[in-house]
Amino acid sequence: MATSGHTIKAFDEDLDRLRALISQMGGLAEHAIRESMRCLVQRDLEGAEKIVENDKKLDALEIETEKQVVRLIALRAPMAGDLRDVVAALKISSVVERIGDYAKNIAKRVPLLDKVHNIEPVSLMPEMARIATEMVHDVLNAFVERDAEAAVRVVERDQAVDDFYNSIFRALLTFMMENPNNIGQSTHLLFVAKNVERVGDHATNIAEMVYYAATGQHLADRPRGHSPLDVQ
Amino acid sequence: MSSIAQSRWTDGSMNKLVAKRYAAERRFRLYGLAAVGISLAFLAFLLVTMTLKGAGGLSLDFLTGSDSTEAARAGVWGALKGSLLTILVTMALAFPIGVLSALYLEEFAPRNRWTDMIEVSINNLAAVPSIIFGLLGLAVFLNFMHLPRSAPLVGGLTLALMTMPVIVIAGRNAIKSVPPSIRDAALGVGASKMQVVFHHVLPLALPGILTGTIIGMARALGETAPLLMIGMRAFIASPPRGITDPSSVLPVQIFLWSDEVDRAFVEKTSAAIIVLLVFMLMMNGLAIYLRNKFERRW
Amino acid sequence: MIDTIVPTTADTAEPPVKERTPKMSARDIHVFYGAKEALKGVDIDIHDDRVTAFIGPSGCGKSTFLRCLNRMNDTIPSARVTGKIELDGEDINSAAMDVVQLRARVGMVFQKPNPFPKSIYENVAYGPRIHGLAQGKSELDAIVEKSLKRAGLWDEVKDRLQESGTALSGGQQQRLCIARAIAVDPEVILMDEPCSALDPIATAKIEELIHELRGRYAIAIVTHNMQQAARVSQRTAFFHLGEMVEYGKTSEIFTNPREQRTQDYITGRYG
Repeated sequence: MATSGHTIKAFDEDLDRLRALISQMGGLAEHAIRESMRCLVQRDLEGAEKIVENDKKLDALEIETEKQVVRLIALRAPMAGDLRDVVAALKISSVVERIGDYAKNIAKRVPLLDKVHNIEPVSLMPEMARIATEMVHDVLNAFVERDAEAAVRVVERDQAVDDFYNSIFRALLTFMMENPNNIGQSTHLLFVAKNVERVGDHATNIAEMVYYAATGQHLADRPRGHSPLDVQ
Repeated sequence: MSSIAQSRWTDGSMNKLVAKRYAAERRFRLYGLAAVGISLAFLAFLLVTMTLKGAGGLSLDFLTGSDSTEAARAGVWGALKGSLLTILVTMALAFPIGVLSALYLEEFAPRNRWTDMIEVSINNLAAVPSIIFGLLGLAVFLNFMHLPRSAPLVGGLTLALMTMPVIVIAGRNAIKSVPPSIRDAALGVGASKMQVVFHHVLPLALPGILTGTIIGMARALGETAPLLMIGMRAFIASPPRGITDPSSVLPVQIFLWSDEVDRAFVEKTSAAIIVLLVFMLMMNGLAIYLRNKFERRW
Repeated sequence: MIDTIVPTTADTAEPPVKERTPKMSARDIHVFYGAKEALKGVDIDIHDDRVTAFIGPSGCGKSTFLRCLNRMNDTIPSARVTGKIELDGEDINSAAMDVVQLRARVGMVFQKPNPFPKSIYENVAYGPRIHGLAQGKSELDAIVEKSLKRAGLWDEVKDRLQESGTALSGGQQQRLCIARAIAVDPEVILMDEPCSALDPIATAKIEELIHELRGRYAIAIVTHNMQQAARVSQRTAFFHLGEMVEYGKTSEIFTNPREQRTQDYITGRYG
């Protein structure tokens, strides 16, 4: 998949800088998700505040990425694979920014959850968040490496995240029915679980963008193997 | 990569080199001017001498009278008319044959060893001494074909043989210099080869061809040796009536008069030279006018 | 607007479209200049109602191929063309095809504008005159006016038809050459890098003209400017070292080419 560099070296540098921006955003988003989950379980109020603060960095990076993309299109007139990469970078940056927003959303709920260690289903969430975070990490690596197959593998893992969400949902519902005085807290947890499940979905979206950028075909159109993907 | 060091273009040694170059250029201009001056000086000397010696001899009688044994009555008209008729014959033959040959050789002939040999032969022909042509004329036109001796017809034929290679060479160069883009454009519109050549190449090559013709004609006007060989050296008392009448030409007349013992012919000779020069200038002027008229910018 | 064919999600690796017979088709074209092989087996179709662009690096054979289509390579003594080229089903290299008529049916516009050193009127009228396309002066005038109008030049020159064609600006001269090609009522127009000697504004005018002419003539254009090929054509063929590497819809060639060589050239990784 790797081809030789452009005759105009500055073009290569521009593309590398774009990829570096995406990697940077990815790192910040992954850290935010992990941290927000940790703060939730450990009830770290200061940590949660920091997460909310740091989300501004992610927003700034998204604006920077958009600027770089527009500049690249205007000055370099990218074609074929380069054009698909650049358009994918633009879309991925906004998705990653949204992932960061989900982490911020979770962090904002941390102060409102004081009796969380009492709630049984909470123990499942760190694992779910770990899988989702790994999906984001792997799919962004796939973008930088232009690896379509790695992107497809990420899509397949979304099922696990969805399964986690479904069990947490049922468990929380049962818990709420049994402990009506905890409905407030449980509802917050429900939203947190939903946010993490959305992170998994977004990672899948990014995987589709990466696949198109690398191959020029859409994931939904590709000839299927044996495992059907449950596209919701 | 370069630091902001002293540029080699601004230090003293480079300035000296540049100054030397300018000095060399000035010297060359001087030499060139001197060379031109020397050539012009010779020409001026000739013109001034001839004018001084011959101006007195120029008169209407001189211009309208024909040759005579008496110096006082000798005129130049017979020779003048003879030159005119000879040149007419020369051009009538050399121009079409030369132009058509050039067109054929450049546009239609295949490129092989034979055509290369033809090109070499034509180039050599142009350099052959004119007296050889005189011998040719004597052998072929007079002895073999029994054409009238000393007639402008024979003189014209001989000179045509001599002038044709010059026209062919100039014609070929002119045709070669027509840009291929014009040919492509004409071919692209669906013109046939003949149409390309006669509608586009020939009109654009015409100025060059006419230049070659001027050069050839100027040479022919002044030729003496070949015409002597075919007999245009006799004393002719009356001007020729047609191209088959015996005649003389201006250069030969000058030669004959300069040979005369009678000192009175000196003035006549110089006057005739002036007439010849004026005649040549007029013919050249006509040809240059024609060339400029056909010149087209591309 | 660019592509009139509805895009399908099916296999995009399609050879020339089969919905109607092509105006010109070339099969297994080899061109030799002496011993050197400049074109090594090219197969391509040119359809009317469509602009086909040939792109590729210098010396790849695209101009050579274009010149095969109207037998201009015949004028080069050392050139030898093998293979079959057909115009409306007739073999153009056969003895039955008159090369003069072929060149009127398949017109050509060259890289450097080359109007005849005659008047503007004469430039356009020359072709119809030698082919006898007009009876009488008024018909000839009509042809000249129609051709100049179609080439987008009429308004600029209608008051000075007797002026020399070489006195026009570069862009106008090129449009004059296009009018000259149109005047003989061709079926195909071949353009060999028509805008490479022109400034951007003149180039844009010519590109717009090509777009207008598209409905009436089959157009094949050689260009070394990829953006121009992308703007102007519906089909693009990429040539490399005498071979035709890839041929397909312009939109696909420039967003998702199949061959690595095409991708490398288009993205500027070549050389």
